[in-house]
Amino acid sequence: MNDPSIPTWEDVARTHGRKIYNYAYRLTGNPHDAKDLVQEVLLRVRRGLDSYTPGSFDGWLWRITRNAFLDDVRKRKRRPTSPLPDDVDRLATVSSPAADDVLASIRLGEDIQKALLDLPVDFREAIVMCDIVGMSYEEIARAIDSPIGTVRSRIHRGRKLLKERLG
Amino acid sequence: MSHRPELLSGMLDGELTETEVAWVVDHLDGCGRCRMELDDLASARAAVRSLPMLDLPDGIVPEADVMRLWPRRLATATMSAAAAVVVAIGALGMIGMASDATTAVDVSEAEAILAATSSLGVVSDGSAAAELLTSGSSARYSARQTMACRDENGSVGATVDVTRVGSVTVMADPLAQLTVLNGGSVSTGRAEGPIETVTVTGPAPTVGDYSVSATRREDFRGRVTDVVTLGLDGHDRANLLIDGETGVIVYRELLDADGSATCVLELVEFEPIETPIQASIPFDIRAEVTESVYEPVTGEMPAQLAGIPLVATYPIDDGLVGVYGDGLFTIAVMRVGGGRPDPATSDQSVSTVWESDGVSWAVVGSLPDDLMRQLMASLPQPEDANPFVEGWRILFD
Repeated sequence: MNDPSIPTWEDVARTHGRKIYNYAYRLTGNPHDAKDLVQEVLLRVRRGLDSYTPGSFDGWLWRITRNAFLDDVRKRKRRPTSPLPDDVDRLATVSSPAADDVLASIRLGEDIQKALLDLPVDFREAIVMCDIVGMSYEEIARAIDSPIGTVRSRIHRGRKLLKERLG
Repeated sequence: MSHRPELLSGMLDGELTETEVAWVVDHLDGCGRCRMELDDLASARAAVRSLPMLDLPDGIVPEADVMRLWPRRLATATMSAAAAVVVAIGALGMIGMASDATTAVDVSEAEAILAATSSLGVVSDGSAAAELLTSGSSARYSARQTMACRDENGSVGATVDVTRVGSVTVMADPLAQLTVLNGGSVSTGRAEGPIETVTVTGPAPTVGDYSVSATRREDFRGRVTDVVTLGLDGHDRANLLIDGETGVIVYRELLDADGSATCVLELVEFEPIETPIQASIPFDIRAEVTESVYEPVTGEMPAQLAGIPLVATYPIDDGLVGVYGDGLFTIAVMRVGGGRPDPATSDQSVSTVWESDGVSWAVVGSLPDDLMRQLMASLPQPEDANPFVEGWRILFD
């Protein structure tokens, strides 16, 4: 663990925690599940850093993240719940002039989130990695252990389905 | 006119080659349908990208939840003095695990490491060890273990719950040779120093061809853990984490030449059992696969595999577990479901699980290489292009 090219566990939490959380949130649609998933990923990272050898750290991290998510999917076997109702209720009572705009923005975000959750998980994951996390196709391919052509196809088909659902 | 709609998203993301970009630009010029599709894709892409980047909530600090890494029962498990000498991991050694070819360990070396780690006589309770060693007596034990089989990313491929009942005989020879008869298998390890100090930190410098080093440390939960490392040619090739209180191996990993873990076995639950031991039954294994994604299957297990007779069959949620034993070797074979694996989890496998003709199989346990080959050859062969097959190829090609 003295290799400077290997981040510490705290480095990982600080520099990647937010991305992992957003990945998890958009995939699960549930802030509690997302928080749990980040916890699980960081625990696995902490344990795995001892045996990690320098290489594609991001690829390693995202494979762990993805596996944690898929483990969770298997464990729960239930549909994710839709987020944000609390926020909508709370904001609806705010009398600020911008409240309507904020509310409209949140409702739109909620629609997009719902549409994401309706996608098959493979498509949803590829889109979230690309458009939320900001990963390149090559990085996604490494993370999901699939050819770039598969990534390209999933993103393409996912976006088409998303457009149909969003109208 | 040929269309290549799959290139359109790549175009938006800047992921096409110059040649592909030129082709798309040229194509869009004369194709209204693809122009419309490009607009739709851009709209969907922009919608997702408009979602706000959320802040990480407070309280995501693993320290508070680190207990989850360790089984609750293990934290309080205590073993009888006799049971404290159990070397319980040998019969449960995985026959191999690797998620892809790039992390595969050499087969013969993996087996050698498994054999070496299984042969480490682990005695954590000095007083119990001394008593047993001086008397040369046998001890009976029973223990229930839940093992999680994980790949190098820490993902659980299967959880196996095994109840083992057997006897252990510990004998000391003048050269401080520690011999453990664990069920039907015989293990030996050398102890350095006086017998009274035989602990996990005390194995001799080598086990087989492997150098052994051991340190005692506290894990991040404050629990005392002994770490035994086996090295070969100056490289660490296996690590064992042994609970300092019970002497039970709670974690074992094999390392490839680069030091990356390729096969991890982790004890997630340990519970001593007080049930009396049936002298006529040399072992009793109960296995169940939990959290399976497969459909149930029924049927019968083969009457023998590699000449080892079927001793017992246990129904589980997803199918059957057959336990094979001949007094010397014990191995469990599971038919864990039919149908196709869940696509969402189809790559969450361990290499000892494979699919054939709509039925998934798993083997838990280890055998000498020739017997394992015979056993595998007599089971339905894995299908091509199955994600579960990778480990099979690595081990048995």
